Amino acid sequence: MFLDPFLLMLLMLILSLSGVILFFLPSIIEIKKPKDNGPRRILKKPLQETLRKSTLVLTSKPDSTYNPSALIVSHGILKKEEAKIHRIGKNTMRIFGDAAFPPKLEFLDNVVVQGALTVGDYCVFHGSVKAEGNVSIGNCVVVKGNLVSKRNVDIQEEAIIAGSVHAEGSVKLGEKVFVGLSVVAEGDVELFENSEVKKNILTHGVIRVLRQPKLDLPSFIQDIG
Amino acid sequence: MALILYVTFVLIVAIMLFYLVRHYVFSLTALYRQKGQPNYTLHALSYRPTVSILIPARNEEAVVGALLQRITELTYPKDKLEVIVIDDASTDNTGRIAEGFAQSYNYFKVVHRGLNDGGKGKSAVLNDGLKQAKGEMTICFDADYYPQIDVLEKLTAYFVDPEVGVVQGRVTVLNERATWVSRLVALERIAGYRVDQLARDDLGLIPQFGGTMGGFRRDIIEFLGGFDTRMLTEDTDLTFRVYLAGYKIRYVNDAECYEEAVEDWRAYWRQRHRWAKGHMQCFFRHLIPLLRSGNLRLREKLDGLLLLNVYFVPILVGLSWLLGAIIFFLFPTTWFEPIWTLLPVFVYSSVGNFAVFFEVGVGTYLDKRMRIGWLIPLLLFSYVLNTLICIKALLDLAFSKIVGSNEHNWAKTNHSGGEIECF
Repeated sequence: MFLDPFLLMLLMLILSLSGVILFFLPSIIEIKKPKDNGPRRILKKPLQETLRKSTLVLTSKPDSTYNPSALIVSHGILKKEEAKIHRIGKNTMRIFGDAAFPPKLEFLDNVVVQGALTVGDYCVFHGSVKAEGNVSIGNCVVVKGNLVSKRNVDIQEEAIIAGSVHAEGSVKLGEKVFVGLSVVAEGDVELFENSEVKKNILTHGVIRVLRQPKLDLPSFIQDIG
Repeated sequence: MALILYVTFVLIVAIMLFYLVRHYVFSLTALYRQKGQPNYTLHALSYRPTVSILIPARNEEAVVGALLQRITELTYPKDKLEVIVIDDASTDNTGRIAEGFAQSYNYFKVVHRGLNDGGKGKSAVLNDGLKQAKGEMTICFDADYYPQIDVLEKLTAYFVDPEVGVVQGRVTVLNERATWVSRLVALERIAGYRVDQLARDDLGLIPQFGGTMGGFRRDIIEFLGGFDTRMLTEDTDLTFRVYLAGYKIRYVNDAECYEEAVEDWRAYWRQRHRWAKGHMQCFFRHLIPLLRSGNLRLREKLDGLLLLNVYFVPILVGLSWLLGAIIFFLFPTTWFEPIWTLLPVFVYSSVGNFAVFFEVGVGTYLDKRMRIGWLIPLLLFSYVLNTLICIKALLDLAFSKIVGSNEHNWAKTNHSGGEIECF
């Protein structure tokens, strides 16, 4: 009925050894007869050739004459009491919560806003601007770096973004807005026909080009100067 | 005494459980990822800041030529590119090969370090390179690397975001078929980059700068005072200094590069010993600032803590086994049931340790390379070896603290260039 203790020990030993061999068996097979097709091929086609098909691309004419140094904007001061501001590194400031800048402020640093951002007219940013929330840029604002938002971006008339615009949501470019590099958006991009994007517009949504409304006055209304 | 042992044991098991959860969260994030972080890859088509490539090289004649040739083939505009090879007092032809490229291409530059300065570690070499660099961004490559031709566009695209201070690309082992050691290293790399780094980036945690195949804004590194020559892992040190300064690191999975992995256990030991010791240095240096920092969110602090502690884990596992055995055999009490001693050890050993293998398995699955996953059981060997390496590293570090020495031997990995020749 009962096995001899020696046989039992032997059986246990064989069983445990079998378990170990079974555990390592796949590895042993793969080492002896490798069927893995590695190393993985990484030297694939460059990015330009493999752009996702879902991305709409519009390339505008590179005929800009933008000169940021020609702009003159009066200086303003952002009071530290108005918002919780934290300096990061050498040339970046982080603002906690939403921020609304009055017109004609000038920023020498990069600006990172943890909430929504509203920028008044004629503000000048010598670095880049990033906001976690929606961004609304006023008329004639100048951003010499890039403009980044995790939501939507709305840029009013005659603003200049010397770098790129990036939005996880949609982007609206007002009349005569100039973007020095590309506009990249997950959502739709809407721009006036007289606004200019020097490189590409890349979006997973729709690109709408708006024409300026033409006022066709009735013949009985005369221009009396 | 029993109580102290029991409390220590429970504490260690709790730490282990943190890692267990972390491994599974990372694996599931990589599997079912929903991007929590913005993807700036499309800016690679237009955003072109000036770039300085730094290549530290010490006796790398077997591989450096292939890398320099590859750099001439990169699609990045050459008028915005500067390549600085820092010849770290090489005694072979490394310097001459680099000089040959400098004569042929005007954007190449060679910095020769004197014999007295050579061999003092990568940090010192990179600092010498940084003095010459003029680009807005700096990208580092080790001499044995072989990148994709549009790698610079992909990496620099993430600097569109002013909060991003450092970027890190993916490294793939080229010579994995050479030995089973290099194949195990390949498995570790797959899990480390394809799962671990990617999940950290997606979850807004702390992706790690790997010291190579990545880069940083030059003004930030200058602001931070360059690389610290006392640190053995300048990359981990920089990772934490950048986060503590308020910037972010982004991992770019699409930007890839081949590397030559170590091919034998001796080289594996030397390399991992340096990593372990350097990581432990970082733990003691950055632990308190990390916990006190006002620039980091709670989840970043937690991830940073686990990251700093990662080379202590094998030691803690060994310690938990030892403590469990001591408590079980020497202090059998009524309130301390053996089952409660064994259960956590058993649970962690079966589920917790498996979590690492699960992560590797997920990586091989995502890379569509299930067959290399057959080697996962062999990782047990490297796991045991890593335990010994970490214990040795801790003892070495403690000894140098006691003696009061800040000098650490910087063990350089040798490269043969066998596989890279095929390019």
